Amino acid sequence: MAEGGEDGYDAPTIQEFFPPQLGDFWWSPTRINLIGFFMAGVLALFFVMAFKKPTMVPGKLQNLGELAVDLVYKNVIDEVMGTKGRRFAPIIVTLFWMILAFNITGIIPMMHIAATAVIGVPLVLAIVSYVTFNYAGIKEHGVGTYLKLNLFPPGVPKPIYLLVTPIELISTFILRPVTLTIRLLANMMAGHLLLVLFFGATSYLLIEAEGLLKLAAIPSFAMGFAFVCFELIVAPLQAYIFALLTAVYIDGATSHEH
Amino acid sequence: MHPSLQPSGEAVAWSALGSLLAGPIVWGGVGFLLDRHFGTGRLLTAIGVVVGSLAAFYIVYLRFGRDDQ
Repeated sequence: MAEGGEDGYDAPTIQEFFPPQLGDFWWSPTRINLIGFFMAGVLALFFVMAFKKPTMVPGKLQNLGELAVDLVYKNVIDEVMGTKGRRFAPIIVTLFWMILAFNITGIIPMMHIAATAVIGVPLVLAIVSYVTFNYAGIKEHGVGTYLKLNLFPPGVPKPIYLLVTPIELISTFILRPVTLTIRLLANMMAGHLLLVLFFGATSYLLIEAEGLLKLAAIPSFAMGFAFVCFELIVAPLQAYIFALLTAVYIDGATSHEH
Repeated sequence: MHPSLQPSGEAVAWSALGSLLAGPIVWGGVGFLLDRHFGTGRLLTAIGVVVGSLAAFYIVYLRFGRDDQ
């Protein structure tokens, strides 16, 4: 954490995201890993409990579980793919709730860092999304037709393919997983750095600063609080965008119209 | 996009972003390599970025902008 010392205020650095391992083994987890494991456990427990014994007239927990699944059905899957997309529901619902649970830890007291703020988690989720939409597309069309549909958009004069096809190749098969990873990672990293910056400054100004400078802790705290509220919006928004893009990519891969 | 559905703004925007980034990266990269080979300064890189951007806009138009879709 950033803190004021004898030499003045230490701004947060990239080291925030590389905490020490909690143990001496190569596989010993870091604090951020533990936060991820904990949230995955909480989420799994919630859904298992909610749907363990489903009944026609749902109880409170089942109701909440159905609401959680319906939210993704209506706002992501049905909106992008229609009801035919519901066969991909397990993966899209899991992605949305997992990312949301991992993002929201950034503003949960005692945790204070999003489990998605280190590159491993967004990268693995992007690979899952990448494998899913390519697998769905190849299964639907076969390898040759799938590549043709993606790399050679119809209605283009043949010489223009020389210009367009390399762009489609890079954007579909390389940039998609890269942008999925970086978008989520950068949003959560930036959010964490801003919170550490403002609350670290508040603590420094309040304790170390002298005279009227102490008053600057008030706007610093206000900015910190504002960014906590902002993170409350960013966490579900990033989960929504990741799930939505996965649905869009799957729909594009399986669609017969390009 | 599902034909009976109104594509969401975010979905279109984020999908288009990939192509808009890839265009200048691919053809700007080709221009950069040619510049290094021929020793032409930054000329071919600049041309590549412009051509790549135009091609990317064309792709976005093809995918999302045509009235018949």
